[in-house]
Amino acid sequence: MNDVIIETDHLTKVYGSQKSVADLSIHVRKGRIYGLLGRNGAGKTTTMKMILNLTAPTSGEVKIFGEDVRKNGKRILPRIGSLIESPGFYPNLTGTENLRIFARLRGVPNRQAVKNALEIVGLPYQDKKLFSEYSLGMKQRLAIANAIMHDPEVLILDEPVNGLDPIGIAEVRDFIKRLSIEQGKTVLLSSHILSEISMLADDIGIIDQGVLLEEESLAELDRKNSRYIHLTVSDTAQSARLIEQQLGINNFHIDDDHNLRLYDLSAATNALVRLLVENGIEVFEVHTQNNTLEDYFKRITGGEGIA
Amino acid sequence: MASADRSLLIALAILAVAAIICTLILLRRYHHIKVKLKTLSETLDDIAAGNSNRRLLAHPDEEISGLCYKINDIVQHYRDQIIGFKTAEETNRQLMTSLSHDVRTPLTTLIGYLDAAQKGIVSGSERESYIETARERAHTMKDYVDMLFEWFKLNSGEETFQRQPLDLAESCRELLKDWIPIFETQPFAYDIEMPEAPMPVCIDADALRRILNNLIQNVLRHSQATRIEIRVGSRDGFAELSVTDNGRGIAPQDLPHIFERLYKGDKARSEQGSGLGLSIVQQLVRKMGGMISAQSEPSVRTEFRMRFPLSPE
Amino acid sequence: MLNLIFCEFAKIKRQKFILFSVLAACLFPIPMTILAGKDRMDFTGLFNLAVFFGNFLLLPCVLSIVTSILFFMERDHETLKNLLSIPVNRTGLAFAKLYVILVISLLYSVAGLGATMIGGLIIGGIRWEQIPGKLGLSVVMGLLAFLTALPVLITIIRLNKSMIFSILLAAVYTFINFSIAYMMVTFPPDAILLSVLPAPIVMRWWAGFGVERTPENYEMIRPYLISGTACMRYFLLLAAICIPFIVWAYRKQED
Repeated sequence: MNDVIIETDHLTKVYGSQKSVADLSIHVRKGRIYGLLGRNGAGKTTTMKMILNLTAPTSGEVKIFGEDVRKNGKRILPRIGSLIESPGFYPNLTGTENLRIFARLRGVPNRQAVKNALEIVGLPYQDKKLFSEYSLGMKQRLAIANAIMHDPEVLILDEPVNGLDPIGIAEVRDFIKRLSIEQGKTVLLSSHILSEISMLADDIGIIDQGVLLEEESLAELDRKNSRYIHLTVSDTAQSARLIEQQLGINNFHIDDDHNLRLYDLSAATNALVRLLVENGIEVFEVHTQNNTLEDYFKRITGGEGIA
Repeated sequence: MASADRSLLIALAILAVAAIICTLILLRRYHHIKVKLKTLSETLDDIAAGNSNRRLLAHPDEEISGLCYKINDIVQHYRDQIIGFKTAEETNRQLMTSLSHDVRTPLTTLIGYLDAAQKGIVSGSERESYIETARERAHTMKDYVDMLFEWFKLNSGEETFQRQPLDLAESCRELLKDWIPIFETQPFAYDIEMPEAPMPVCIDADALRRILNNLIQNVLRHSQATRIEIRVGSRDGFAELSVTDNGRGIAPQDLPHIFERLYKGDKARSEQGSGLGLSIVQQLVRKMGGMISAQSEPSVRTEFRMRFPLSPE
Repeated sequence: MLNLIFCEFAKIKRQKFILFSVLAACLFPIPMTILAGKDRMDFTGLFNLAVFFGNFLLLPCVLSIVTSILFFMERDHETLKNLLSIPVNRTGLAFAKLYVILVISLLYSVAGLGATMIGGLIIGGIRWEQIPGKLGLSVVMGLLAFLTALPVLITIIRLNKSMIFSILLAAVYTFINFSIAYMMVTFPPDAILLSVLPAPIVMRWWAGFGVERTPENYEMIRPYLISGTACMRYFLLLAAICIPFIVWAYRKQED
C-alpha cells in the first residue's frame, strides 16, 4: 500500500523498566483522519513524540512519506504540523511574536502566513496581549495556529480540543474535518474521549497500556455499533402503516419496496412477525442486529471499557 | 623602516584573513542556494505527481522566497478549484441520497395509509382518519422537500448574502417582537436578555431572521419545553447569541450528530426534518462567519449557542 | 544559524535582564568613584578598580542568570517540542544561545566603561586619548569574562536546576576564582591553581598590562606575569574544551 503516509513498525519505548509503548504498528492513510483512542497515560503522546522524532524509540521505526524519520527528519518534518501536549510558547511575547519566531525558523508558504493562521483560529493579529495573559482556550488556539501556519500536508494533533469551550470544540472539529474532506490532508489525532474520535476519525486505533488493541475503519465500527431489526417483507407500505398504527413505533427506515429496518428494539420479534402475517403481509426474513460500541470496547479492552 | 615593514605585514595579514572570511561566507551562501534549489526541484516533482498539498517553505527575507510564494499561489489556486468541483459533486450526491432515503420512508408510509383506505381494509370513520393522516403526512413531506431544497441552495452556493454591519442586539429585539405574542398565547415562560450596548456584527439581516426563527420554531415544535431563554452577549471579542430551553433535549450520544443532515451510518432519527432544519441553521451561521454549538442536559437545559466575530468600530 | 541567533534575541524581548545587566555594570563604578575620589586616584586607577570588581566578581553571576534564562527557557515554557519538530538542530540552538550570552557580556563590559567614564568626569583626570584603548580593553575583558564563566555554565546547564541554584553555584565558583586572583601574590608563582583557574590567568595577563607600577611592586609581581599569547592560548584551549561540553550538556537535558 503506497498510500500509507505514516507507518510505525513495531515501535517500542521503554522508560526505565516501564514499557510506555510496546510493539506498536499503526498505519495512517493519505487523506484520512486517524484517531488514536486511549486513556490518559496509554502511550498516545509518547507514540506521537516518536513519530515526530522528538523522542528516540527503544526499538522499531517510523516511516513518513516512506522515509525513515530518524534519518530524514530534516526533509520530512517541515511537511508536518504538530501540536503535542500542552501549548508551549514564550510567555513574554505576544501570540504574533511567538508565531513569527517559529515562522522564521521553519519558513512559510506565503507572506501573510502568520496573519492567516491567526485568522483561521480566531485570534487577533498583532495584538498587544502577551501569551502569559492568554486564557487556556486562546493558548490552545495559538498552538493550532502554529501547527497549520505552514499549510502542512500532515497534521499530528495530540488532544486538539483540550481547554476549549463547546463552541471552540465545534469550531476546531469542523476545521479538522474540512481540512481532511476539502483539501485531502492527512490527520493523526489522539483523544481519550470516544465520542470525540467517533465524530472525527475515519480510522481508529485503540491503544491501552502502550499496546495497540485494534486498528479499524470507523465505517466498520459503525457496523458493529448497529442495533436494528431488519425485515424483508412483501409490502413495505402496509408494514410501515401497521408498525406505526399498531405498535406506535415511528423510528424505522424503508430501504426499498421489500426491505425495512426498525431502530426501536422494544418490539418483540415474534409479535412483530405475527402482526404482519395476520394482516396478510408475507415475511421472508427477520434479522436482529444488536451490538453496541461500548460492548465492543469492553470486549477488546478486557472488560474495563475505555475512556 | 622595520616598523613600516611590520605594519605592512600586519595590514596584509588582516586583508588575507578578511578575504578568507568573505570567501567562506560566499561559499556558504552558494551552498545554501544550491541546497534550496535542489529541494525546490524535488518538491516540484512531487507536485507534478499530483500532490497539491505540498508547499515550498521560505522566509520572506530569503532571495528565493518570491519564487516559492508564487509557485505556492499557483498550486493553491488550482487546488481550490478542484475543491470547488468536489464540493459541488458532494452536494449533488447528498441530495440524491436524501431523496432516496429521507423521502422514501415517509412517502411509503403515506402510501400505506392511502392504499389501506382505497383497498377497503378500513372503512367509515377509520377510513376518514387514515386519509387525514395521509394528508398531514403529505404536508409534512412538502415542508421537508422545501427545506431540502433550501439546504441544497445553501450548500451549492447558489444563494448569495448581503453581509452588512448591524447591531445584533437591536436586530434580535426587532425579530423577537413578532414572537412574543406567540409565546404569550401558550403557557410558555420566556426570558429575553439583551445588552444595552450595541453589538456590531457584519451579517445578513435575512439570514439572522432565518437562524433565529428556525431555532425558536425548533423549540416550539419539537422540544416540549415550557420555557425559552434568548440571550445576546459578548465574550472574547465575539458576539454571542443563545437560544435555551428546558425541553426534552438531546441524548448525549446524538448530540454530536444533530447538525448532520443525513442519518449517519445505520442510525435513524425519530424526528423527521428537525435535523435538516438545524443543518440549515448551521450553514447559515457559518456563511455569516459564525459558529454554532449545542449543549444539552435532557429535561433541564438545552442550549444552542452561536458566536459571530464582533466587527471593529 | 543567523535565523537562530535572531530568534534568540527575539525571545528575550521584554525580559528585564538586559536592562538589569547594564544596570549591574554600573553597580561597582559608583562606590569606586567615591573611593577613588577619596584616594585621589587617576582615571586609569578608577577604571582598573571598576573592571576588577565589575568583571571579575559580578559579571560571571550576571552571566549565570542570563544562562539559566536562555538555556532553561525551552524547558520552562515547553517550547522545545515546537522547535525540534520544525526541525531545529539542538547544537545550533546551543551555539545561538552562547552567542547571545557573549553579546551580553560585551554589552556589560562596555556599559561598565561608560559608567566609569561618568565617574571619571566627577573625579576629573580623564585623558580622552586613553578612551579607545580602554574601550578595546573593555571588549577584551568582556570576552575573557565570558570565557571564564564557561566551566560553571556547563555545570548549570548539565544540572538543569532552578535559577536560584544556578546563581548560587556561579557565586561560589566566582568567589573562589576571585579570591585566588585577588590574593595571587600569596601563592608561589608556579602554584597549580594559578595556571588552571581562568580568573587568575586573566589577572596574570592583565596585571602587566597598562598598569603604572612602582619598581618594587613590579618586581614583586613579575614572576606571576604571563604574555598575551599565553593567555590567548589558555582561553582557546578552555573554549575548545568547554563549548563542546556545553553543547553536550544541553543535548542531555531531557524534557
